[in-house]
Amino acid sequence: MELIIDRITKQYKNKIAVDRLSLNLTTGVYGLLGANGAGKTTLMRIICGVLKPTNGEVKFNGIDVSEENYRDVLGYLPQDFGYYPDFSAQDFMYYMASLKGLTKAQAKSKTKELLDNVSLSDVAKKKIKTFSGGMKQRLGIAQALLNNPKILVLDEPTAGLDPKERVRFRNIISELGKDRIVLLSTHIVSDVENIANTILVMKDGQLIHDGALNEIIKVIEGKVFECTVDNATAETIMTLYPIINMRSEGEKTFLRLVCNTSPHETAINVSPTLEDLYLYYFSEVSDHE
Amino acid sequence: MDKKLKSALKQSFTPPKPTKTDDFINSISYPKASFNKVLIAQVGFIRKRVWISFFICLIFAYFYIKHVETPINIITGLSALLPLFSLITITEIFKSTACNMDEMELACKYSLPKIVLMRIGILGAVSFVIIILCVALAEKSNFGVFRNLIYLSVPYLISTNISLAIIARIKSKETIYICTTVSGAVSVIMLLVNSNLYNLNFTTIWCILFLALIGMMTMNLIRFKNSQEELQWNLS
Repeated sequence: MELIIDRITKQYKNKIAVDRLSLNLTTGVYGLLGANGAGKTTLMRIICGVLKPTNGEVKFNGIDVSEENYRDVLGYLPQDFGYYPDFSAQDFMYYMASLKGLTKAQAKSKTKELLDNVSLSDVAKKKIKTFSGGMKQRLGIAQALLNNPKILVLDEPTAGLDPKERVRFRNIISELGKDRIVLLSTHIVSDVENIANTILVMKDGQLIHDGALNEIIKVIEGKVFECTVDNATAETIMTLYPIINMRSEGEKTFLRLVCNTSPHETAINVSPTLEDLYLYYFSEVSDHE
Repeated sequence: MDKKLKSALKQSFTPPKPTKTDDFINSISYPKASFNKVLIAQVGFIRKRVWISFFICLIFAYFYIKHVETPINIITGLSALLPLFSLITITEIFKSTACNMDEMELACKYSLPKIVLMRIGILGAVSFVIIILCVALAEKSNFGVFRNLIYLSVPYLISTNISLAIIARIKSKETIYICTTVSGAVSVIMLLVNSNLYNLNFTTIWCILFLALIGMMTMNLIRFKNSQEELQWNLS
């Protein structure tokens, strides 16, 4: 099972959203990280055949992304999606099942099983327009799994889910990643940290990191510091370095930051996390935002 | 094997739990629904309000014809009604984009362009039946079946053509309001049209117009179908 993304470029006038990106994905969970505008959604849309690349190709086991057989093994949850408001959750699942080529009997059993998995069985016959954001998101996740996909692409799947739902969702994804390719993007770094076997970091349309968590955080090993300083010093430090955490402690301020050299004589070096890495790479973007 | 030995073995050993059940289930390729079955299934997913609106419009047409005697008024009345059928059809065809379902549908086995074609096929067939029913209802206009067919099809085709051209170009939830305005305008124009245009002398012009509109509709349908093949990129 291999998904090959070969020198993909997506250009629109002067803007390059994805820049000659190549990847080989095999079974497992891949977490895609990047700031807004890094090209994550564009890449995912290209992988799903929703957008055509300007250059390059995407193939799964030799099947091109534009073919019906490719879509037959694909499950996709877009970042921003709607529903036919007069559909109930069950109608919606039946409708998506028909588009995925499932027979009536398969649609019925899969709908029951998946609505149960996402805890929507008791509201299966309620109209989607009455659902909360989290319920709609869970329904979106359920539809992506209808055809038992070999490639599962989830764009911001945990958006709108409460912490309990997120943990449940993470467990489902971990289980699914055992025998298929799961690619998910999120801004919630802890989600990726907990479930992804491989982390992909995108910046300006390019892949800047690709590897397991312990491999990619090596980049900032020895660069994460914590210190407690007076408020005036804290303000100076905050203008110079990307701050990961800040907590006011009366006259003093606690800081956790990423920088190449110790920011203060009292600063101590600590073990880096994925969130530190994210902020290290995207602090420039965050500042502008 | 001896029955006693069999039961003794059963009692002594617990059979191991099946392993790799999921792998086994996943390796089975289930038969998929055929294209025809998917097409038939789409009839059930057309919104109920579409069928109700068609029905109400037909009932209205029936009672209108019953109470109107003047041949011209029969034709103009039905001509004003037919763009509404066109609008109902367009609303249904465009619902994926209007409800922001297009991205999800594009990634399915039977993707958006195919589903759109299925909807067009189903609603086109229903619209054809409706036009035939209207032609039958307009029988007492004394223009004859052929002229009635041409007179009633032209406003329907004008409205459909303009709406198809609009939905192929403008992809937003508000597009349907533009189509409503177009259909409304065509309806009003048909009510106000000069009755001399229905003279026998103009039949050739009506026929040319009818054929040109059929040709244009084919082109607009292809353009619309092509416009559904890729998501409109917003640089996100």
